[in-house]
Amino acid sequence: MRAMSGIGQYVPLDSPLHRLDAAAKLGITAALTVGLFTADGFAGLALIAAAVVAAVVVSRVPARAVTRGLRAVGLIVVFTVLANSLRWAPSIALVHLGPLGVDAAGLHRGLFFAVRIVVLVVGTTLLTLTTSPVQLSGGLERVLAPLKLLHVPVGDLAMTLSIALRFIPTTAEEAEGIVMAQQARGAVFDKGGPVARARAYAPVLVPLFFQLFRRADALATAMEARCYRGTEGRTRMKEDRMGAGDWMAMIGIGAALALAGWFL
Amino acid sequence: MIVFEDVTLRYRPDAAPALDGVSLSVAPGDIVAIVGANGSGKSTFARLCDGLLTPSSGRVTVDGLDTSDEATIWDVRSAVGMVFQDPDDQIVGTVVEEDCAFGPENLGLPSDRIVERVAEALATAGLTGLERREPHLLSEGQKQRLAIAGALAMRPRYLVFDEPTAMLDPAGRRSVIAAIKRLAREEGHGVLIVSHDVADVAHADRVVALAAGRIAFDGTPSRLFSEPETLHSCGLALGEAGLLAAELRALGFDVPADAVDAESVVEALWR
Ligand SMILES: Nc1ncnc2c1ncn2[C@@H]1O[C@H](COP(=O)(O)OP(=O)(O)OP(=O)(O)O)[C@@H](O)[C@H]1O
Ligand SMILES: [Mg+2]
Repeated sequence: MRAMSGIGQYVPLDSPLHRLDAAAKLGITAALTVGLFTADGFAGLALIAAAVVAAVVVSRVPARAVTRGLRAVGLIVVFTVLANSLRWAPSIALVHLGPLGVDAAGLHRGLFFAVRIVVLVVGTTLLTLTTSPVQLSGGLERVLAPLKLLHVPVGDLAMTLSIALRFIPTTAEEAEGIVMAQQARGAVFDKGGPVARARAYAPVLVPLFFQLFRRADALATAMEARCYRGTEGRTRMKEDRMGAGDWMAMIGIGAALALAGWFL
Repeated sequence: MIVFEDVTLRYRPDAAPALDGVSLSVAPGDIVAIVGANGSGKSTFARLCDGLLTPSSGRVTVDGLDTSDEATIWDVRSAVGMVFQDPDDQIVGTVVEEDCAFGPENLGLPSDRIVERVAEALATAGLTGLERREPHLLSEGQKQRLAIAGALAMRPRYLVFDEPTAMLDPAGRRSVIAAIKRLAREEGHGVLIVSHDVADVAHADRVVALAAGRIAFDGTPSRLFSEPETLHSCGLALGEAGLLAAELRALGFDVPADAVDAESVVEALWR
């Protein structure tokens, strides 16, 4: 649980990336995704990857915080490479492993997908690492504002998101407390196969859910006591707005990323 | 003034009342402690103060506004700040200043006034300098003071605390109680504090003890501390210092009845 709890959690620093408006960062992340999925060669990927690495450097976020997000997708990356490159009894292969062989075209494809996943994860993690949840939900609210015309409760969704993000560390602490309490009573979590392990967690999840529902109820009461009545008529202490610099960064970097994918 | 007029509350029509014919008033500048055993109706009482619950019969008014009146409920809620036992149940923001701003934002205040109120509330709660800190990195005492700051930022005239020190260690408890006392004495807030701790109660001007939803005692802390049976029936217990003080008093030493913690007993003997 502890390993999962820190992923993508805001690192409050003062860098150009931190200061960039959340809506602009959302726009750039969207462009990054488009760029990654339209790129058909390593050249495009490499260019986008270089831009992401540059962004990591500019953000001054510790590399450890960035790679923590990668650990969670490590298994998927390995699986992607293997599933694409391993062939049963291939006629041409780079390497033979008994009846299995590594197929060159498959390896190429596997690595391509793997790099794409890694760059995407690093890019999106960087978004949450450099944007506070409140800024992020505020940015999302502004980006999705047009949906209000279709009666989508954008404000309430953004508030829900921001509260969910706020409670990630609290919930992780709570889960850890329950695990320790169960261990003190002799429960074993790290023995046996995956099924046995998953089953060992059931006595943790039940009290955890119970706790969460209790907390949700208490939180709703406290919000009501603090005059929360939906986002209608609510104001913000920090009314974020896109400045000229934010627009320029979003359009400039966003276009570059999307075009890099498109043409390379 | 928060006024309870013959208030009865049943959670279900067929259930025994959680609060039964309670009449009471709290004026600005007063510190009133509410004590009682588990299930005696203290939290119910607290929730009635700002219309989170409304009476089954009787009336609760805050500066003349009926808490049952939907039209003025938000005025009532901004006049009465609530602070609950577990700060994690009430902190909504992801950093200190954002949480503190939550109430004023809900009131629809313009941004510059929110900034002003947040700075002021954080200063009062002794959290200046921690504006950008994430709540889960605060100590329990700081978290509870953040919950207080969140209530203060709405500029309430009354503050209702439901066991605000239950989860704190002695140092955290002292810092929260000191903040609460300052609010009543210097800022003139009317303070209602539900507590199980004799040390908290000793700081009040007046103590109201509930038993099975009825008022069983209403008087000064010193009078309550000189009535061991009442004290016991409220689920309150004098600590070692308090017991020592009682024995010293019986031996003829001049120890005031509200000296219940080591510090104040020592101070009394020193004089
Ligand atoms: N939401 C509820 N629904 C039904 N009954 C309730 C509810 N909340 C409280 N009660 C009942 O009302 C009575 C008074 O409860 P209340 O929470 O006010 O007590 P309390 O003095 O705050 O106790 P504690 O010291 O445990 O906090 C209790 O008998 C309790 O079981
Ligand atoms: Mg209670």
